[in-house]
Amino acid sequence: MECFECGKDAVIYLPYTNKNLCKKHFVKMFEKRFRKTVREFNFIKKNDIVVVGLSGGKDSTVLLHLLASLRKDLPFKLKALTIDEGIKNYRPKTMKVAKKEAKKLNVPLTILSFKKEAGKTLDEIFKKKKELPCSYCGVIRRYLLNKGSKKLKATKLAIGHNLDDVAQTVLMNVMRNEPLRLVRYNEPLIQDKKFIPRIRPLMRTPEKEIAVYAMLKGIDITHIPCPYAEFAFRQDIRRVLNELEEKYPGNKFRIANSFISMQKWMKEGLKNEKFELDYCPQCKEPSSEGKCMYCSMMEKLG
Amino acid sequence: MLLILDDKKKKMDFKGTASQLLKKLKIRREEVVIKINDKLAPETTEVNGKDKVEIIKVVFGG
Repeated sequence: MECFECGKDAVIYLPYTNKNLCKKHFVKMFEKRFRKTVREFNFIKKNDIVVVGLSGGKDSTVLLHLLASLRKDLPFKLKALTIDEGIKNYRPKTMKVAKKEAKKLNVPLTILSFKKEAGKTLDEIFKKKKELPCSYCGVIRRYLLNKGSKKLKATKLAIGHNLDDVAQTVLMNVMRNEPLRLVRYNEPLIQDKKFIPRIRPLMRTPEKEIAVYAMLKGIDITHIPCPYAEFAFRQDIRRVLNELEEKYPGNKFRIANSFISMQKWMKEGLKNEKFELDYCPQCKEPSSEGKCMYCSMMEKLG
Repeated sequence: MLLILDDKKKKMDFKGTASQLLKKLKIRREEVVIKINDKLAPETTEVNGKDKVEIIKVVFGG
């Protein structure tokens, strides 16, 4: 198959544009889209301290590479933070990649572990609770990412959320009837110095293209699934969206674009509402009401 | 055609595009990348009897 742009051998087919692209033109398009997203949402300003939540999976590893390259044109500090959830046969492999890639790019890496910070690994939590490990993992990981970023004096926390994640998050929050979660996606309703703003520079990039980019650029990625992924609601949504995408190419882009448009209107509609922030009486971190999710979970786990 | 899927090798008779092969194997296109004769290739590529086709899962979750 020939590249739509130059006629050379194509490496990827983009169904949403019905075009085949070669390595050179795919990489060019991919990097341009990343930079355009950073500008569109004003994600990074000069002299920011950006901490990447680096799991060592393909999304965050590619994000680290793209941000490291962006520093040539925009001066900002780049650091990486890895959370070790304690998942046997999975996390040690991705952590090895995280350490290797951070070292290669000369980006300082900090590692926080569930075991040290929360007293239990995710494997131990699952053994004890035998229920929804992803809920525990999500809350504890977010808490530690925020805590770690603050310690590193971050002004932004960059995470590897891609287009697929955005489309999944939109559907999940609609299906769970949680519209406020959608409104605050990318930008919290209440600014607080204890919340490090999260940025998602890959939010307009399909997940599959991140894998292809990594392979073409020789970025080390692991092809192993999280053993707990099957328990997640997100996994069902992922499957449905990927089936729909085959029938209706461009579906994920349209969901994300609709969401971004609607979010502006929702924010406009809420501008006179007063949202108050509470602080957890135990850990003193911001909380929507009383004790935070993290402390409540820690209590449940005993 | 030599098919490699999940590190397992298998010989099979198939004629068509890589995309049609994925459909036959009930594999979602959005979750894999294809290598034909060790090179990344679009799913629109025709596969013939002498080809080595590797299907690599890249979308897992987690």
